[in-house]
Amino acid sequence: MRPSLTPMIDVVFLLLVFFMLAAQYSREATLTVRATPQSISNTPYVGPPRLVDVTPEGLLLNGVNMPRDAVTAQLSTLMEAPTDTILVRAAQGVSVQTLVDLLDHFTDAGFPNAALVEARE
Amino acid sequence: MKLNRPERDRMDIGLVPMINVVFLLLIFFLMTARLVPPPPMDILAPEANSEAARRDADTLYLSRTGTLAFNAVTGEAAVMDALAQWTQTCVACPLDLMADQGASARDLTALLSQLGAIGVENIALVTVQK
Repeated sequence: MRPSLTPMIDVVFLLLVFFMLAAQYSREATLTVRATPQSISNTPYVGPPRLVDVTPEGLLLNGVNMPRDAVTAQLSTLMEAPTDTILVRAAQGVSVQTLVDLLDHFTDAGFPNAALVEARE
Repeated sequence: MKLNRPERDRMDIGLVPMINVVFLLLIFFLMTARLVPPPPMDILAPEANSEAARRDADTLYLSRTGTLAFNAVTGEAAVMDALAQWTQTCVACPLDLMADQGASARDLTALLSQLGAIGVENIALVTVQK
């Protein structure tokens, strides 16, 4: 006797529709973030100060206001190796997106080790 | 009146290729589906060029208003307690941090240093490709 195919097809279609609807096809990725305490204990900070302040008005490298490309150019002269740690400090009113844009830019520029530091009040 | 019904055998023959295709689609969706529980809050991840694939890690959520959520727990004190316990049971586990793109960067920094203090390392920020 040949079993009827129809119930099986029903079940398979149900499963298909379930997985099509439940699957998430977002383009999610990740960006490694570090805070300073661990990074300093793992790899000690070396070389001249490299502190980038992110403010709603723009960027400051070691306290001097300059555009982002100038920051990148200056940073490379302040680093012994591209893997040296850059300290990034976000001011009040800066959004996560602005910070991520900067971290992303540093990664693209070949500086993968940015560490986030807290502003001291 | 006599209706011209198709023969039973011919209908079965037409069914087999369709079943094959449906099975293929089913297997495709089974293999590619990533079933992630939706964020407990409305969160829009920041955009970045990063292409590092998202890992299978527990996720800590930071909303636009600064609310924290982790494994069905919300509120800062409760979440930090839950995370402290989580580090006991899951030593050196990676943690995904999903922060809203409009959240305060200072909140994020403060959260990272708190996480460092309770021993959570290997943190990755979830982003969406541009």
